[in-house]
Amino acid sequence: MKCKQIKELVLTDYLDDQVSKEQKQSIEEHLTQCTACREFAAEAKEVLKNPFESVQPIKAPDHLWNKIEGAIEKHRQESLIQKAWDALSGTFAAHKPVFALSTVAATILLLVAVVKIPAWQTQTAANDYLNEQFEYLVYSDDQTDVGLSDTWVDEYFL
Amino acid sequence: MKPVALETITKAAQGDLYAFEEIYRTFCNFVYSISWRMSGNNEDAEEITQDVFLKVHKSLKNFERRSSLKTWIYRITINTTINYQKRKHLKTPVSLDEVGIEKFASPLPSSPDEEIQDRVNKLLSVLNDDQKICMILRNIEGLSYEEIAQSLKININTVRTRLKRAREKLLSLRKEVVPYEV
Repeated sequence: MKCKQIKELVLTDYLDDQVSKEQKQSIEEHLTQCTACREFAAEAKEVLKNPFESVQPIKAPDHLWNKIEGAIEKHRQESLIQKAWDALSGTFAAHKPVFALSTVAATILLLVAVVKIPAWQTQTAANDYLNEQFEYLVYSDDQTDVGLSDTWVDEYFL
Repeated sequence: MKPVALETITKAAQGDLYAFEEIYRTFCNFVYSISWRMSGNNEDAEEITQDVFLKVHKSLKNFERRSSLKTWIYRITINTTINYQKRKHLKTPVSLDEVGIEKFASPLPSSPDEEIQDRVNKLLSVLNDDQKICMILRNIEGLSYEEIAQSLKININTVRTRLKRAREKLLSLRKEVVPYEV
């Protein structure tokens, strides 16, 4: 193996003990013969392996479980509320056609009322007008019938 | 980390809080450790850990067991941590060229353990998130390449490449990042 390949293996599989027995033997043979690669391997071990192996494990603080347990309980309660809400929404959703029919019926009634009322009002006004006209004419006719010379028209103009 | 019994997973999925606590106890240190090393502080690590276990609790009934529970929780942890980082715009990848060595100046560590921790934090801080998570999973948590690939849903050769680039970067920057190291 060439020095470049050896250095790559030193930085990865060799340093991490991921090489096969044969590979390890081959690398170590090269290291005994090549000073540059041997020094490189020694430096890599000193800088990249030793400090990490000596580091103390970090432990989770004791109080952390209580916080997590509390959060789980809170989440559980929120889920119950959500489920209750979903069930309630489901109940309304089940009667949706009824609500839809009621809404359609109400809309139709409203439309009929809006369309019909002005027409009825217009008709009533027209009827009133015609009645007034009719009464006036009848009244006029009555006046006329009283006598030709005594009509109020005659009195006015003559 | 002992494997969680199938019965425990089933009970927890059905809402048994004691069974869920057992799952929590099995994975909490891993989850907290990843989130602490990625975020760099206790408050964010606690928030991320809580978020991860709430997601696990909520999704456990949908867990299809195509992957192991361990890989599934690892994946949730990594995704949640990376998304949290993005959301809060925490610690964007630090370039020494941009910020200079002062960025890494910190009070002198008071104990050998703290000194090592400090050195590791400084080394990790120069990596981008992809490289950092691979380094944490491999060098600190001891996952195999296969487990890292499954957890990140990436090809095993991508894991290899990310580790190689991360380590090349650390070697080239080592004296700037950890100046007191000989």
